Amino acid sequence: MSDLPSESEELRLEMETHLSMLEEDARKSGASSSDATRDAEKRFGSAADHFRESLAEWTHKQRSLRNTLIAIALGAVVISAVGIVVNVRLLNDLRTTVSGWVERSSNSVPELGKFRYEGIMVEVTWVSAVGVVRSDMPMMVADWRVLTAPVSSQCREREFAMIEFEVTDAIEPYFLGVPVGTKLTCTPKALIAIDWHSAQPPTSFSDWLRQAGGAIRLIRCVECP
Amino acid sequence: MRMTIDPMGAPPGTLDMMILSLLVEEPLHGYLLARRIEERSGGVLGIEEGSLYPALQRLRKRKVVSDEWLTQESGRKIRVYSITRAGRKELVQTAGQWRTVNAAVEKIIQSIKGERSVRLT
Repeated sequence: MSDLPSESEELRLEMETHLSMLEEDARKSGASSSDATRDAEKRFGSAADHFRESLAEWTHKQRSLRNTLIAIALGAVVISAVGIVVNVRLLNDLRTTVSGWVERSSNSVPELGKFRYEGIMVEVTWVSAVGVVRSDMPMMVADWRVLTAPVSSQCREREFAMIEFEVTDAIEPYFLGVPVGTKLTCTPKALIAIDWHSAQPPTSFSDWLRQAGGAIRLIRCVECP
Repeated sequence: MRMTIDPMGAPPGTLDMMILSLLVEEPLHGYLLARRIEERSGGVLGIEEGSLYPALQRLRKRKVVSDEWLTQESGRKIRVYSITRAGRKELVQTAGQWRTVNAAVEKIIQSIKGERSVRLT
């Protein structure tokens, strides 16, 4: 955009020069220089009007431009503020998600075609004729929670139920060699990853127990391993 | 008879063409341009300053003339206008059109004169 205020100043200077030249010529020719100048000033009138209009138009454009720039700046500030809020929320969500992944992730990835589930290693102990027998048994965390649900409601979210139940006829095949009537104590020991060939998670131990229908007793709540 | 060039009454581009024609010879300031128009037209045409300076600004914005501020020996500052290459091109076109139109108008006037003179005689 041209610099109209300076243009206006230039025009004023140009008019002054013009008038002074006119005066000089009038003086040389013996005519009244003041009359010539007055006439010329009248004739300049329309030029001055022309520039006044241009100046007004220019001022209006400048004002519009300034308002537009202010609006753009305000818009940018609002968009930035919204962007910051959204970004913070996204980052928080992302951080939560990633934390969840980290908590659930293991050091390895399942083989192709296998599915990984959160598992729990349960230590099963019972008293036999030769002494206390200990055996580790992997099972699904979800399965364990279903199994112990009736008795573990008092265990908080990050705690596991330590249970005791009796071997019955129904579950005896699962615990070969353990006499019926033996009391088994199950203690969650560690969180593990169970790789399974199917999208359907494996069910085994809890099924046996459910079939047994025997009473499961909560011994105590243990910290999440 | 002296006529003042009225931009509203004159054919479009008349004043611009006269300014460009004079600037082809040499760069001029506004006052001299006004004087030259008067002189070259044999005192028939005059240009009002109120028309001349807006026309010069218009031409400058269209970049057909350029301007330069000079300081005379007396210390007076003058704005001198020169024709640009684009201005020369435009002048060639408009002067050609002007001559064509002028010739056509002249023919019409001549033909009317002829008929009248026939009737009058």
